[in-house]
Amino acid sequence: MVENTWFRCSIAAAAVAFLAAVPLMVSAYTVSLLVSMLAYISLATAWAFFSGRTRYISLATAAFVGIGTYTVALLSDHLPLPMVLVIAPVVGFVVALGVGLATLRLSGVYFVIFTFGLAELIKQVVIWFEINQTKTLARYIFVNASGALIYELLLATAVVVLAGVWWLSRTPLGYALRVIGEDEMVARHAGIDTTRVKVLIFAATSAVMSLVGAILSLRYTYVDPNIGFNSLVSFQVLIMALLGGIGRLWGPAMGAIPLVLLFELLSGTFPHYFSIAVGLCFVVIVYYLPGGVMGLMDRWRARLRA
Amino acid sequence: MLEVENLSVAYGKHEALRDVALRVETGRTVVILGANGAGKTTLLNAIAGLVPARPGARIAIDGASIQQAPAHRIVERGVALVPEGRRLFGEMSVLDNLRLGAYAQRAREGEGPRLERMLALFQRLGERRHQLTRTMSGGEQQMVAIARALMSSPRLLLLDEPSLGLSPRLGKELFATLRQLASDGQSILLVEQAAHLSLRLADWVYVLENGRIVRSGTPDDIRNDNSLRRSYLGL
Repeated sequence: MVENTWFRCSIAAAAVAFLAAVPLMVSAYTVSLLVSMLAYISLATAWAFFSGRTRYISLATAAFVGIGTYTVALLSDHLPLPMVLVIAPVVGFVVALGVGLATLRLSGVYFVIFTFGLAELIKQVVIWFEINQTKTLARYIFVNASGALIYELLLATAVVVLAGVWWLSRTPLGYALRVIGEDEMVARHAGIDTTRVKVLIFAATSAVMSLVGAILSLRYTYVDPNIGFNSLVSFQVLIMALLGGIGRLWGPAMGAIPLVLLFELLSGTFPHYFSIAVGLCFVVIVYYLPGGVMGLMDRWRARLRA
Repeated sequence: MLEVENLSVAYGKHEALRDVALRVETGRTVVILGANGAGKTTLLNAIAGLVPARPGARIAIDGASIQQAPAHRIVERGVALVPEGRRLFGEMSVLDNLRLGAYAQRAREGEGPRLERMLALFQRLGERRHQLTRTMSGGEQQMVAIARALMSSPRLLLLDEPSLGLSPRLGKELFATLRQLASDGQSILLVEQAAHLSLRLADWVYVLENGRIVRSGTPDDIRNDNSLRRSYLGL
């Protein structure tokens, strides 16, 4: 058992080392595609760890990604980049903490609607602030970051997120999250402080989203609130997690990889019908793959055994 | 060990419990009899902190108030509830359900040996420890629910109609297990409609009607009370 764990860890380490070397071997376009994949792997995994387990479906992903993006846009001229990349997740964490304390008592559809509204609210506040206070509606981001640097930063983030989810799933906290999704009342009288668990994990996963938003912003030179707080991101992350299957460590990643490729293909070939295509994907996935790719693989495995 | 005084609970304008007072002494089994809608589940939920009581109530464990404490704190004080309808985590195995029962801080120490003891006490669970609880029979699920509550190392075990939905034979088996727990010194507060079985187990009985305690006494007192015989024992 222990040896098995060590074996797996060394395979994982070798895989990470290989992935870290990839930018040296492939074209700039491939690197940018891989950057999107890594970003969405982190986003979908973080989203699924909270929303998938607790079944508090959040549509606030775009808000926290945008917070990261805008932290960079506002601070990158004044502070060194590493410091900005530390501040971004902290801002996301603090905002999520406040939002969580105020809203995680809401349940079901009310929570979904609130999170969607929150993303829009934050965007409108930023627009108001920019127009009335700073008299600008867009910002330039002058950070000298190569595609390879962005790639390595996002690779590190994805590794930490996946390892964190793997580890947390084995702690009582991971149990607590799953159980809150199944029956919150029983969770409470099993001795779980459900509010604390929910708020903490919501804030932690939101911090990851802000970090990803901050790193991704390094590839823009120009950002405005509609780019920074793009609500489509919330839905894309949700579809990826659903496609992959939310109950498993690798599920959301398995959804993110094919969908990033698909979205890339669609936005390249049918730029004007992109939203329609995303909507159709959503319908097909929910209808045909309720257990996600991982659920499908389980079914196939069961059929092979039978 | 448990003292309840002046406990009233209302859902909006509907008063579910009114001025309830009861005691459970250490090591004793106390049974609350009552028909559907008498307020039995509300009473247990109020003690477990899942339903807020009206101001003025006093709920105390060993003299220390647990009134208004959040549910998870009450678990830490040693009160565990086996809820009505079992409410297991169906997609989790027996072992995972039991481990979850030991989530409370007070239960972390000695979790391993206690798990072994549970699997020995409920032998069928030992045989099926990796089975998903959703796929188990009603009787087995009830065992999981009780074992899960016991994993928190409770000083007082609250049981909400554990015989509900079980065949008479399984109900008897269940009560035999409860009797064994009681003889090992577990304090129990049991809410039931199955009067015959639970009277045999009880040291003391309260009768709850329309949210009020209308009668209390030893099991013999209750058996010999003519009006109660008609309502609860069908004699």
